[in-house]
Amino acid sequence: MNDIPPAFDMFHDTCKIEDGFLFKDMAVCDLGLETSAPAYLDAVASRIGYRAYDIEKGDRAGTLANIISRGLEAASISGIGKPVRIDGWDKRCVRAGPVLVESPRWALVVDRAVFPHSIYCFFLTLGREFDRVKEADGLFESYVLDGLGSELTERVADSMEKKLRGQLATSGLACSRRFSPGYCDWPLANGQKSLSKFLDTSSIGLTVLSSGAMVPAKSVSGAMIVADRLRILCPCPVCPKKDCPYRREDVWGEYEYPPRT
Amino acid sequence: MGDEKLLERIEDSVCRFEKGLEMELLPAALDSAPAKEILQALNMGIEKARRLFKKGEYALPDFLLAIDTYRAGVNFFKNRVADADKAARRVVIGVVEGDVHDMGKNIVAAVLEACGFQVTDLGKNIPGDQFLETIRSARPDILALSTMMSTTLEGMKDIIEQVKRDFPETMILVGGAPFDPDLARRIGADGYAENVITIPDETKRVLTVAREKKLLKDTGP
Repeated sequence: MNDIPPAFDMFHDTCKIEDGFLFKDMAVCDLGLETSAPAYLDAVASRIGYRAYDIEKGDRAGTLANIISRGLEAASISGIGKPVRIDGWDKRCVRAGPVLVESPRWALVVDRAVFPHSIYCFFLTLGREFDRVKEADGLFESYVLDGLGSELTERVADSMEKKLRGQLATSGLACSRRFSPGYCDWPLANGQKSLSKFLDTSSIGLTVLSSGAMVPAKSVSGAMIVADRLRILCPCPVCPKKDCPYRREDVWGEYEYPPRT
Repeated sequence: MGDEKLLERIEDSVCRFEKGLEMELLPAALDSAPAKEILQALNMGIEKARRLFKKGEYALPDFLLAIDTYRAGVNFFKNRVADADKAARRVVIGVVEGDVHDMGKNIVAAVLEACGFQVTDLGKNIPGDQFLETIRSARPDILALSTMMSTTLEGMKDIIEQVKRDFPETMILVGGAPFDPDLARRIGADGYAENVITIPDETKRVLTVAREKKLLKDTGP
């Protein structure tokens, strides 16, 4: 990987997609994400089990917003990502250099793609300071920060995915939805091992345990399929498990992406 | 304000998670009521909050706020009622090695503490040997093991087998995302913490079984 400056990167459109990305200790605002607590309030409240009318009672909204503000300040976001060329695939897995995606469902996405090129692998983390702040306070505060951490991690990953998709589109390439070890049918421990063999997670202060758990805890890993065209962006449209809690409804069905003009 | 009213206010303060309990109400109460009665008011407050949570009138974060208030109150008395925990049943709790997700474990530990158990929280990513050493020294009535990951279940099974072999009087509870009652039974646990509502009752059930098997003395919750 080229030496990409910390202030970098795909979030600012200054590097080539094939070089990958590396950024360290960035604040929420540096990544173009919402910086005000109210922008996270409803999502965090829902994650921790409040119903919409619960947060209207007393000063719950104010209390939550204060904690969320502290959490947003504590986040020191780092990430690393790079594509690896696909060597081959069968019905059970996709092989790409040291990365082995042992997932029949994602192998199907590759199988249905037109000229699948590579797998774009990544790790993102909110950093150790966020974990520390989460552990230091009372149970309620800790629980709210845990919810915020999950929400923020997802938003960082969404932002990365959106940026990558946009950059790839300018090169005439399509990319799948992101997917992570431990979800769908990609086994956690082996998937994490495979990704961490390819990407140097120590460069962003992240440790992957043999169980697949990550330290700091509020981190996310994953991959995306890059191809000339994708007939499905994820396995959901052809998956028989209709009651899957992670089912994505907002994806292209049996249509090609990008659509033919 | 008379003693009774003050104790009622303490109870309500815990249940309604009012701030400043340990700063104003408790010091004032100490002048007019024995510490034991004040502690009882704190316990009644948290029990009331638990009932509201069980009925769905409180969301989980509300119950956690009540627990935080209760803990602040109990901490206020820690140095004043030194022997309060002596008769309590002992629980050792921790997240097994390989897992760093401890939110569920933290909540369960706090709920058990609020229900009168004496809880030793070992933390997260705890090696099996550390659990065994703690059991050897603390002789808990219950070992509560938590994990949110399926990849750590094998290690958890090893711990359970060793505890069953070396400390048969210690009952084992398990909890976390991978579990259902069937898996809990197959892994060798005596009980399964399905959620924070059922954990106190499940813990008591497991202790009753232990009593029936003559593994425990007939005291405590």
